[in-house]
Amino acid sequence: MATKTKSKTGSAKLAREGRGFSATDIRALVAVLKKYKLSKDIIINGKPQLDFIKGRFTTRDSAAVFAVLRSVIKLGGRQKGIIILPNGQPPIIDRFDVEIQGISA
Amino acid sequence: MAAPTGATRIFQVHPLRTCNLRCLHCYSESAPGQRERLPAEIVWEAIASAAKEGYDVVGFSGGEPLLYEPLGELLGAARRLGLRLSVTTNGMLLDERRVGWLSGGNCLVAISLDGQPESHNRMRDSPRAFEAMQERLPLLREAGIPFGFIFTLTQFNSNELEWIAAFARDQGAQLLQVHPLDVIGRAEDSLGDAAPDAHELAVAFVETMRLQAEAGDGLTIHFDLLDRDFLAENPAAFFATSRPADASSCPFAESISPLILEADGTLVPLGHGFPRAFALGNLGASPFSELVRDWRATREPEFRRLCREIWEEAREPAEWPFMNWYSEVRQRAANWKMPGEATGKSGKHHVRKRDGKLARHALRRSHRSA
Repeated sequence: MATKTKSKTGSAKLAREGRGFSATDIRALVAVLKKYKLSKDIIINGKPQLDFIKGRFTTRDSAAVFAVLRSVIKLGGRQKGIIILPNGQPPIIDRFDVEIQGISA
Repeated sequence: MAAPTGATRIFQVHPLRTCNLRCLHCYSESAPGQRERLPAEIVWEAIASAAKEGYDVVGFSGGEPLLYEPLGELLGAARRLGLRLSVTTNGMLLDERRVGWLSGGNCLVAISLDGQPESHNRMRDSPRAFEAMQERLPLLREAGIPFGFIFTLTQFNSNELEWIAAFARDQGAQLLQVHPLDVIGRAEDSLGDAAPDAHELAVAFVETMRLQAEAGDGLTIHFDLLDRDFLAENPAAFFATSRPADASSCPFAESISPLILEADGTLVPLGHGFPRAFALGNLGASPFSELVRDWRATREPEFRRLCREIWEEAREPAEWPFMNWYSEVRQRAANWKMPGEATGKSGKHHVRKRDGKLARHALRRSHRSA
């Protein structure tokens, strides 16, 4: 039995559940995760919804924090309510708790 | 030296094409009526030769390897050589006897899982495939045999990854491997439009990152996609360099990993059904060592040229930072114009079975030495 025609793509089904990305969004997100080589280090606790990165990620590159956040904010359409709590030891702040307030998982 | 398989060197054995299922995406077109199978002696001889050539992991697939009666004996013999083992199965035929084959350590059981029960059963063309598999998982857990799941990602099922990861975790799996569908074998007819495109791969990439974070250390999620930068920075690991001058004195595992033995006795690089122009040849006609020698002299330079082309393209700016390298190599190999002098033995069709007497002796020797 073939599943050839008229099947919705997996991403379309995710979108229907409120968990999808547009082609532009997913490209931006993958690019930023890749640019900062976060694929091994990042810890994402939220669902891929508006709160996509609600939680903690680890990087030694502080620029990554802002680049990721910019991408997340753009995805979520949110401009406010973001708190970044650096937890690493000075002079290298290597861990960040990020919370996008008011958006529940 | 690195390889697409990392630090391990994998020899993948498909001893038969008989299967209790007829899955829509089966790359080897295995089915209940398929009778093609290798004599155990040929398989053992190949494993022993592969071990000598530096392969340290032997993976059994098929067909359904649990239908291959000599499997237990072969696993035991390979274990005694110090090889690490994996068996890829649909899990439906696990019983106490077969779990006994898998026991003894050093063996990971990889169970195919194609989504939630309904999706799994549709892909497996069997209404009880999921239920029968799930019922048998306790046998593995009780025997302390580590196991994981292999999920075939299509254009239509990235939304099921979350369920799959939760199921894997709940069942006590150690591994979830996400493998993009290759439209080869039976999938060419039944799933021609189902290979995931770049967008679906990207969505799945983000999903697997999230799910890995949620799963923590208990479950490793591996996505069979290659980082283009990693490829660009590691040409030797992807056969994109010229053959080293001392290559002929190096173990063959440093030249090709994974190496595949198909159920008709053909040895090919990288994946089942790899274009025959690049095959090493058939073990029914020539010994392993002879096929290796011939391949190195004839097809390896062309194979490396092909891989070099892919590597050079990977260095160019691209829309996406990852690629399905295995699929790319396979597609390019299928269209590669092989110069006449590079055909070696791969272009011939060998059907003559060799006398398995020597290999039977080797198998017995292995038992005695254990």
